[in-house]
Amino acid sequence: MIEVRNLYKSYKNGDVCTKVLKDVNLTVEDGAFVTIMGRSGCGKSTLLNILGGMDRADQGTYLFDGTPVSGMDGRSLARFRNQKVGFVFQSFHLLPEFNVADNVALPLGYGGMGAKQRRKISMELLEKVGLADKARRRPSQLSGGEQQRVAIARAVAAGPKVLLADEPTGSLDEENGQKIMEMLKALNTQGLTILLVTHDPKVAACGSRMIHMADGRIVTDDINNG
Amino acid sequence: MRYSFYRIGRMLKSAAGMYALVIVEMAVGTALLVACLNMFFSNQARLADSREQMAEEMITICWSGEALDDPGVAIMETAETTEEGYKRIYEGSDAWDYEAPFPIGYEEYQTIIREFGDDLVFYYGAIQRTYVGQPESFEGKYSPIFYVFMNDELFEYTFSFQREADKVYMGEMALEFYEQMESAHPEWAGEIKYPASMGKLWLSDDFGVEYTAIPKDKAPEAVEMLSYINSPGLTPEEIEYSFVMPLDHVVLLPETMLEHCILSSLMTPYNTLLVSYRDADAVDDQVPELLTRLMELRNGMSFKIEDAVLEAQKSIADQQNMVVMLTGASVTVLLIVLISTIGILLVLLARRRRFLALACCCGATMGRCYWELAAEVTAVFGLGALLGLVGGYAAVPILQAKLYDIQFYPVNIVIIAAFAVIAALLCCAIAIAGIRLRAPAIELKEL
Repeated sequence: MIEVRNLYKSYKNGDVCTKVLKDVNLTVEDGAFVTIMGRSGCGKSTLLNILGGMDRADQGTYLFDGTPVSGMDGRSLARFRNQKVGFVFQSFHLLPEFNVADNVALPLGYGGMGAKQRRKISMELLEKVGLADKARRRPSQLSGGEQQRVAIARAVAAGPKVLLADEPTGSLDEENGQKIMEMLKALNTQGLTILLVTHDPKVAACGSRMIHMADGRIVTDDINNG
Repeated sequence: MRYSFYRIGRMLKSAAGMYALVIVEMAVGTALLVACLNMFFSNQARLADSREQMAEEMITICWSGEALDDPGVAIMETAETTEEGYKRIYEGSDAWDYEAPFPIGYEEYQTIIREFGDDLVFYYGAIQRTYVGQPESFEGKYSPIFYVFMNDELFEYTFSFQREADKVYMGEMALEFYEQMESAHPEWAGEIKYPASMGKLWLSDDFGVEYTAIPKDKAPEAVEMLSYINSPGLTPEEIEYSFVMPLDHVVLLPETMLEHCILSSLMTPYNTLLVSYRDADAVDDQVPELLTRLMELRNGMSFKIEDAVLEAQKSIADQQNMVVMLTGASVTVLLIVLISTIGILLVLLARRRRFLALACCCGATMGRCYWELAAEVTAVFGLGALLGLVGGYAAVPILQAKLYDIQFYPVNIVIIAAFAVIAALLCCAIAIAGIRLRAPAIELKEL
């Protein structure tokens, strides 16, 4: 489903140009659960952003279901992000001005869905993550684990094909972290492709495939038989 | 689109406290501006009406009765116009030696014709009263004779017909007097001789003038006009003893008479100058400028315009100056609103970095995010502007009661609406430029 060839990406900071990705090649099949590990600054999050259409590579090709993403214009990329991709972040990134239900419905609204339908799907998802009774609350009124569950509900609200998770358990305690990982595994079982970035080997072991990155390159790419 | 409006509503609610201040400031500034604009447009309409009126009416310029440091004024106030006074002057006394105090003398007339004649029509005239010895058939007594000098415009206005060149119109008694003088003194043939000290009069055939009676039916109109332009004017009996001459013929008078004619003194000092505009479309400040020029020419004398329309115009012009000042104040208030809004937006945008980046993650473009922000600010300004428009509309009857007739001009709605939209976009643009949003990926990473 995801095919990346000879990807290069660098950032300019004044006169200094930092190469973040160097000749990255990657193929991800439908339904895979890929974890990506590596030190800070190795390019994991940058790769995730490019795969999610939030950033563009300087060089290389990126195909999603055979469609070149690298050549898309701004509106096409926005549609791609809305329909094909879901994001989950370490800091949850829920909007404090919106209640829980509205946060979940965010991608549905940008996808042009009507208010009634948005509410319905939003409540269904909150039901699945066990937070239907807190639909009208503000994010600040939820615990960390609950907020991350809301974030996951938001990420899958528009029915994406791939979920990109950047350190989803990084801000959670072990218990909540485990719950989140179980939720993600359950979603993967239902057919959702997941690419997850993590520092935690235990979390990395949850995936069916482990990629190790260093200095902007994929160093190892192993199937996880455990 | 509907979802964007939903989000805008939510964002307005979340920043309601800050936006309430902006709305109130905007409403106050707009209400003041609308009131000023209503006053301005009302004044402009009144000015246009008064200009139209001025173009149709005749304006009267006369001496205000005040003068500073002018010795002639005192003399003028005791000017001798009686028979006794005339005897005293011409039968033994020297000619009075003083400068011409006459408000609008012939020289002044010539100057203003030259300087303002392109824009203004002047209706100028004056009356010279003099006394002549009568022939025996008039019992040898002195008889009053009136020389009425009129320029062509005044003549036509008074008599409703154009005078023929070099024709002198006379009252019936003056004509009879002239004929009797000719028959009493045939040696004068064609001349009329006054007391020797006066020398010859110009009323001789040498000057090629023809003597014609004033049309009887026009005499009353002449009386009325003459009493208006030259107080105390002439009575219906006195017009019978009048000679109506072209104004320019005054220079043909003997020098001894010139002193006592409209070139200098002894004319009644309360003559007036009537003025009208040549072109209705060209009505502007010509008459006020004329007034200033006359005051320059007659140093020490002040003139006034006896015209309600012009007085009203002056009053409107003064009010307009006040309106312009108030408009400046309202614009200042609105500028403060803009600046404070930019400050508020900078704070809001700083808080919304995450919001904007996340919206992109969920399928929004940055353009859409900016559009939503612009619509949010436009809603705030729009609400403030609407309240201000209502306030300005409500102020109309209050201003009407206190000042003058003011209307609400619907064009204000367009002006204020355009201002609200432009101001909102400007504030957003400045705030976005100021906050320097980075790529959503970087914003999310750093947040």
